[in-house]
Order: sequence, then structure tokens, then C-alpha cells
Amino acid sequence: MRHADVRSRHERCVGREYAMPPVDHTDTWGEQTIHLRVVARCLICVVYSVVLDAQAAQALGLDRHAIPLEDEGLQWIRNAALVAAIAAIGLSTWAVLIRRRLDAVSKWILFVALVLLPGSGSLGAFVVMMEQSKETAACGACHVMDPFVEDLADPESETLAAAHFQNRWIPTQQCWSCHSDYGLAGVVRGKLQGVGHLWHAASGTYTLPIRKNGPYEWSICLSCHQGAKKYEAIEEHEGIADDPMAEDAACIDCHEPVHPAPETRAAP
Amino acid sequence: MTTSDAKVPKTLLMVWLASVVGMLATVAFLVNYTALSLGVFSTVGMTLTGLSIGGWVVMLVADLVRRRVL
Repeated sequence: MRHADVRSRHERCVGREYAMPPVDHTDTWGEQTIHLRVVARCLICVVYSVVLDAQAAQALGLDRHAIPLEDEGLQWIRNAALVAAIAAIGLSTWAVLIRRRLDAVSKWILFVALVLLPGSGSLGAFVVMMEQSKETAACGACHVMDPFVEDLADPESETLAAAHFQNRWIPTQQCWSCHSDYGLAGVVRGKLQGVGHLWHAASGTYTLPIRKNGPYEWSICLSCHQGAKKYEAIEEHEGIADDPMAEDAACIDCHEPVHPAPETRAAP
Repeated sequence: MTTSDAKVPKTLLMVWLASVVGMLATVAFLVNYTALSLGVFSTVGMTLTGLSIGGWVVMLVADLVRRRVL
């Protein structure tokens, strides 16, 4: 029953003014408070450091130019996630700082503002991140990778990577196609390695010239080339597919250079 | 006592703050997809959003237990 209804009924029955006791909006969740000015200062710091990131990106050696989002489906997901995230900020701020109640209705509002909207916004952003980070532009976002990315489009280059890129033997996501193992485990491993690379680039904990960590699994090459007429016609390729994980030989032992030579990779 | 005088629990304010920071990182990433915004979102943003959602669920369950609903 509403507070006003109780008051009205009581006044009719008793016939005199009745002062209702103050309503405790804190419900059963305690009464500790935190000064709102502290919250406001924290928000200002976050907006400064997260949104105005151009100078920070330059200081960290990261490319501040945005990576284009071309896939129409991803654009829809991005827009929906953006709306959910902005709605979550607005609704939760209104519910916590302005409405400031903890009754049953408020708990449902907070459930939407603190669980449903942030959850869907983060999920959408996560999908966009997973797909967009496969783009070659994403790999080139760290300046330390500039020699590799620039070599891809260099018409004078004779590297294996440039041949695959310029001839469109791999039409899209060229870095990802050659540097991630196939299957779910390969995707997860590739993404985790990408986060690690980003951390090393931002923190400066890497050594020049950049080299691949660990041996290259030539089963990745065979996933496209095996069975191709041109590949099968070469005598040296015979029997390779039977032992694709052999450590004493690899495709890049014969087919080189794959990327610019280490001594020609300019420091960022 | 007016509505504006009502006290908001410190725990809820912390959950809200984590959620807002996480969502700001998400918005920054979605508006401007750069290496830095990707890094901030994938580390700070997703962690804080997860903590805020988990914090809210813990608060809700604790409240239900206190009310002897669960």
C-alpha cells in the first residue's frame, strides 16, 4: 500500500493530523555513505584518461588512428552495444544519485541498469573486439609492427607475406590467417597472445628486433596449400603432410624471406 | 525526510562506480576503436563490468538471505 494511502486512511479514522515516520529508503542494505564529490572527481579522471586518449596513445607507442569497422553486421552490433552502454550509464546514475531509493521498484531498475544493460553492452563490444582484432590494421596499431605492415604493401618487397597480401592469396585478415592455429583452441590462444602483445607494446617490455615467439607451425601453411595442384606437383612436398609437426623442417626453411630481415626492421 | 536525503549504501555506490567506469571504457572503445581503447576495454572495462555485475548479484542474494527468502 502506498505511503499516501496509509496516511489518508489513518487521518480519516483518527480525525486528526498525523505525522508519518520518515521512510527509510536504505531498506536492509545498511546506511554507509560516500561523499559524492569524491565520486565526481573519480569520474572526471576516468573521462580524461579513457576518452581523451590521443596523448596517452602517443606516449605508449600505439597508433591512435581508429581501425575502420566495415562489416555491416558488426556495425549493427556496435551500435546496439553503444546504446546499451550509454543507457546503462544514464539509468544507473539516475537511479543511484538522483532517485536514491532502494525499494522493490528501484531494485528492478538497478537490475536493468547494473546487470542487463552493462552485460549486453559488454557482450556486444566483446564480439566487435574479437572480430576487429583479426584485421591487419589492428596488428599495425602498435608502431613496433610498422616494418611488417609496411612491407605487406611495398611493391618492391620479395617477402612471402607481401606476396600473399598483394596477390590477395589471402583476401582478408592476412596476419590473423597465418599467425593463428585453426579451431577454437587456436582462436583463444591467438587472442590471448594478442592481449599479451598489446601489454608488451604499451609497457615497453619487448626486445628489438621483433621475432616470433616459438617455432612456426607449418600445418597452418598446409591448411591452404595441401591438395593444391601446384603444391602436389613438387617432389619435395611429398610426405610432408604425414608429419606436419616435425621439428627438423618447416615451410619457411625453403620459402624465405617471410618478413623483412631482422636487421632491416627499423626501431619505432 | 526527503528523497534526496536518503542514504545510498557504500557498496551500491562502489558497484555503480565500477559499472560506470566499465561502461565508459566500453563506450570509448566502441566510438573510437584504437589499440589503446581496445586495451583499456579488454582489461579495465571488462573487469570492472564483471565485478559490478557480480557485486550486484552478491548484494541481491545477501539481501534475500537476510530476508529469509532464500
